[in-house]
Amino acid sequence: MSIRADNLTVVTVPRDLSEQSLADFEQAVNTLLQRLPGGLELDCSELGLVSSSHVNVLWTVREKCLEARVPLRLCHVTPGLIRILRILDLIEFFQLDTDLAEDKSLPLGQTPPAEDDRRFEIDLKPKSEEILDSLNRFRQFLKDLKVDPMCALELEIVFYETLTNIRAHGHVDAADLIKVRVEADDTAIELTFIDGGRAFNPAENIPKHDAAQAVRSRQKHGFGLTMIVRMTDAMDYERVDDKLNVLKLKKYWSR
Amino acid sequence: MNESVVSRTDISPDTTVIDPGQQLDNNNAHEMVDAIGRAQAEGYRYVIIDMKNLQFISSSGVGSILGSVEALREAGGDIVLCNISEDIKNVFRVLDLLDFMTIAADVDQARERCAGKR
Repeated sequence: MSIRADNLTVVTVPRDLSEQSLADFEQAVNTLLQRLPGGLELDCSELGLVSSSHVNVLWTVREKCLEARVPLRLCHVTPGLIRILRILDLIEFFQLDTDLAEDKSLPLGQTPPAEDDRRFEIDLKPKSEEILDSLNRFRQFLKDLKVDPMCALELEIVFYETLTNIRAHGHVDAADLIKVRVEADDTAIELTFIDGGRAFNPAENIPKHDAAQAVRSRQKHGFGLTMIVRMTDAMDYERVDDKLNVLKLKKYWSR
Repeated sequence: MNESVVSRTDISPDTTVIDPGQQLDNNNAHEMVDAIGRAQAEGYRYVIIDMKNLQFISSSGVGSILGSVEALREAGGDIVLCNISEDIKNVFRVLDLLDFMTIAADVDQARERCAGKR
């Protein structure tokens, strides 16, 4: 625990949530909240791998701060924590030290790759084996970019699901090519899919997903679009000249 | 990464282990559905899915497992996922499915979970 000049008290959230470290952390938080500091800042730099217990800890502190009317802010927020908070729809309930989050979230290597290495382009026919081959190439591209594994798997799934959707539902002629263009920078990666199939705006066709119902009804299909939406941050669709579908999917490294 | 052969090993009179290989996608999801269905038809109530090699799972891969969970539970059994990496676990989390799945650290713990349900 440390006190900053601006009267903010900083406490580090422990990665190890053993009974003892959790008790120490809770005691530190309770003690300082009794002193009614100008604000509490939780240092989340140790939370590389985030579990639901970590989220519970953050939520509990938030409740205590609300009760004590002490402003709470999370600092040194890791990409993993941001993603988990976003998935759980909790991110809006926390004030983040966003500058630090941006700085620490870059999944790219210490030395930024050259411009050319941040682009990936492939044209493929709507065939299963070509989709698999292009997935392997895309996977290597992400590996070369040093994207963290969890984020990389989400991007691979988005890539694969979009292509298999076009193949299965787009009525694309077997001889036609699907074009995929990918560009990455320090803040985000954008995937663009261009196909000549029937008009289809995924943003207007997102199924309502209910996990409990999916289990009860023994659902085997229909998760693809939900996964695409939940694993990306922005979707933009355009029908060009009434003959081409252009779908852009964006994923921020830190969101 | 093209190792996507679904294999099965029976480890007790009512428990079988299925290994989906490295990739569970549209190309082998039906094999997973068939393997689970066959095991249940042969009287196996517990299916342990050993994900030690799994590096990629698509929506149809998730569906191939999810679609059989309820049937096995109705028969008094279960599907237990084990050796699941954080990356693959995240896929189930994104779909809000983690709370509905039985997860064990490894095959031994999965066997214990199954034994505890008998």
